[in-house]
Amino acid sequence: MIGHDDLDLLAVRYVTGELAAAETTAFEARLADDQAARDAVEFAVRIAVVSADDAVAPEMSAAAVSPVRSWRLLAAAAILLVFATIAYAVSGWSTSATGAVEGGSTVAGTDGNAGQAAAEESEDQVLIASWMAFGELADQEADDVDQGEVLEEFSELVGVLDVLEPPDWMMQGLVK
Amino acid sequence: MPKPKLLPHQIEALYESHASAVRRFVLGVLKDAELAEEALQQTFIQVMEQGHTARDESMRGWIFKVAFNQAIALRRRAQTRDSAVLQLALDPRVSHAMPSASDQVIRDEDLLRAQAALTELPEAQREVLNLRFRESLTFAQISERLGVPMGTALTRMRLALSKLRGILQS
Repeated sequence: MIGHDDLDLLAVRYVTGELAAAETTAFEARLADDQAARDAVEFAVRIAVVSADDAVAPEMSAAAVSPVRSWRLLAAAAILLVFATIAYAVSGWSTSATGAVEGGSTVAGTDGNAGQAAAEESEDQVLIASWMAFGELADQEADDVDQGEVLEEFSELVGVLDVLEPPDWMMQGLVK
Repeated sequence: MPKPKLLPHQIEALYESHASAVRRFVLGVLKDAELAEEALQQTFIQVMEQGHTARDESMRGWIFKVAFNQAIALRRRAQTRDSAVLQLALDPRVSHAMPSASDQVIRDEDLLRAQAALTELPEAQREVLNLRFRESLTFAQISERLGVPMGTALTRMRLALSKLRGILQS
């Protein structure tokens, strides 16, 4: 006995005219008495109509990215970027202030300048990493995004920055 | 004692419940929007005249059976042949007979639910649906386009239909 899945496929091939003449005749003989087959034809047409509908196509081609979820992801990424920028500014201000104090003492020297340069380079890398994370999050399709993953990613990056931590309610609200 | 004929409000209720699905069914059989509309009308004329003879529990099946017989009779009369390409929504005449999903917000929740269900399909399955129904490619052409065996294209369609049916029945 033919399964429901196979019946649906048979019905699609029937309504799209892909059955051979003999198959069509056999299927129509079945349609005369079999309500499951008739339902399968109705179902096939319903799916065909919706699939062929121009109004639906853009939504489908958007790969099921929910606008709301996409917006939240972008917002989350933007906030991450703001945190990264603030962290960079705070860290840079802190380094400059330390450098200024140290510059006023006898500690300042070649090693101190190299350390500061290394620190600045490290901060630049953090900022670049944040920008990259922003881009990746913005590009990611909602279907592929796991809420826990987003939180984890946030936590990791914020952990790297080790400066400011967004409140839990904000992160939860962003990814729900 | 024979059952009395259906009352107008009973016929109206049957039309409300089944007309959209019957229209789609006869369109699938006839592949011609005008004939499908005619078949639908003939079907409900039969419902008016004979509907009281059907058992309530099998009314849907009875209406579909009448619709099928009407469709076959119409096709013979019109001496039409099955078209290789299903026109459906791409044909303006079909658009008239089968208003787009957006036009059917109130009248046909089935289409709206199907629309929503489509977005839940994996990309590979949605692609096969698109190629088959939007671009009217045959399964052979789809397999060529995607560079996969035809069995794979058919399997993706089958999986898509199975998933859609599951979603729509849940």
